[in-house]
Amino acid sequence: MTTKTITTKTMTTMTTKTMTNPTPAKAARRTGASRNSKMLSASLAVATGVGVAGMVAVRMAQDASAQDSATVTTEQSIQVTTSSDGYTKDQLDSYAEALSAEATRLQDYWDKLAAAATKLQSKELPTIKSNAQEVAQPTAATTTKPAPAPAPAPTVQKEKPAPQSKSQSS
Amino acid sequence: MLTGIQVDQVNQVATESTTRGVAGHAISTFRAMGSDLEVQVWGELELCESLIELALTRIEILEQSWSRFRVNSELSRANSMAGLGPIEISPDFAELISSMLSATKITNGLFDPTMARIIEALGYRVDFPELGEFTRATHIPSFRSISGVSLTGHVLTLDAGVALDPGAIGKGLAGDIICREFTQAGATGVLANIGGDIVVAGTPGDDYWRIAVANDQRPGSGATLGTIQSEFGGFAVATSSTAKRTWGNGLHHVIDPRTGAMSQTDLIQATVAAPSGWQAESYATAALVLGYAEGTHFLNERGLTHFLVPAPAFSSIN
Repeated sequence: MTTKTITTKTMTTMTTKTMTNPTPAKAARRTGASRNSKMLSASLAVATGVGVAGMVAVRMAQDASAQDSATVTTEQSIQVTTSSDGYTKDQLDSYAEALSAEATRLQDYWDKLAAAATKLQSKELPTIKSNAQEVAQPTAATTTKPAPAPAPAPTVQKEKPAPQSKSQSS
Repeated sequence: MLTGIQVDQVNQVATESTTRGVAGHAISTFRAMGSDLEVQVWGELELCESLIELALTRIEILEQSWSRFRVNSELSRANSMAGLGPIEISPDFAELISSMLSATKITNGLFDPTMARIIEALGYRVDFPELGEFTRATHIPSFRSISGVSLTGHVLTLDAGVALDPGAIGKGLAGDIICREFTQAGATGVLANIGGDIVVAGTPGDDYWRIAVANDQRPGSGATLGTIQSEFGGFAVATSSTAKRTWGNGLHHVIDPRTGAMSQTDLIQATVAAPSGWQAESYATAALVLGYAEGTHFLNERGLTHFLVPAPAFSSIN
């Protein structure tokens, strides 16, 4: 087992451990990655396009509002310049600046995600198997009933293999 | 600001060599959104390592957009500009708003995201880890209904007086987004545990999904109500509870939209499995507000796997 520590630019202390897992995985499960990778290009392109278009600046949304809101929008535009409670240029500039900063951050994330996907795609895994859409309603290991109190919860099935995670209120 | 937050993120990467390359499983745990988070990724090793390093970044971007506790978040800015006219919002924020509106529909109004001012008046003004002053205001305001929220594409309009609080829906949706984007990037399995709301996609290697459900009636005991299991991902498990995030003299964060007051029913916990994180959280909140009998009927009607835990004071009548 090797351990290394990386400090990221967001002041995150990250510890990475590498270990050997003796359990082999089914190859078919892994190969779903290739197809997903191909889907990513289109998905990311759309998302990035929307992101850039949606986050360039904040503005009064006359054009995008519903058709019947033209009159209302005009009134709101007047508010901006006349009411002390309405939007001010500083407000809009500040809002736009914040959105723009987050858009840049999101774009950086998308770039890294796309780079990771592209790298995977270039490895040309031999077979393709979709892994995402075969969805079925999950079943509970126990029957659905309230846990009587004060007695311990009944019919708790303790799985031999440990669960991957535990749901609880935050 | 995000850059000022010190986050301890621990990543673990397990590998197994096969004839077709190296299959990996990576786990990243960190703290964000006022909660403990865990993201697990299965797939090609190098991809797993890349994705878990991106998990925290993605969550931080979402939190900066959605947090009610950050004055400069997109949500806070939108709330502060309610009544002033339509504003253009980011795709992430638009997805949150869209999910909140849908949550109101699928729960018949039992989830309502417009009660931020009531929750604040009850004292829930800062995030729990900050342990701020949770003082209850003498006057609890009424709230404007969901009809005061309009979303057209990426243009949001909030009527005057409307203030949005996504509640735990934000956590569920964050899990949905992580799972969606990471599987699109090529991960064969993803588990996002956002403060106890869990979303899974794909498959966990050659294993199957097992999600234990904690029993909030016995906090800290490690007791579980059972395990939800499935061969395939594409589902979520969320828990809503009045046993945690409490303050003052029995105050908690679950508001009944029908009364505008703090919910008081015979349930302390509702855990629901649904196709997505935001849906699971919506249904869990709705069940908690309805109480045991109506909540059971509500969830059964929708064919949702669930666990409902009655409050000790009510256990004798159930």
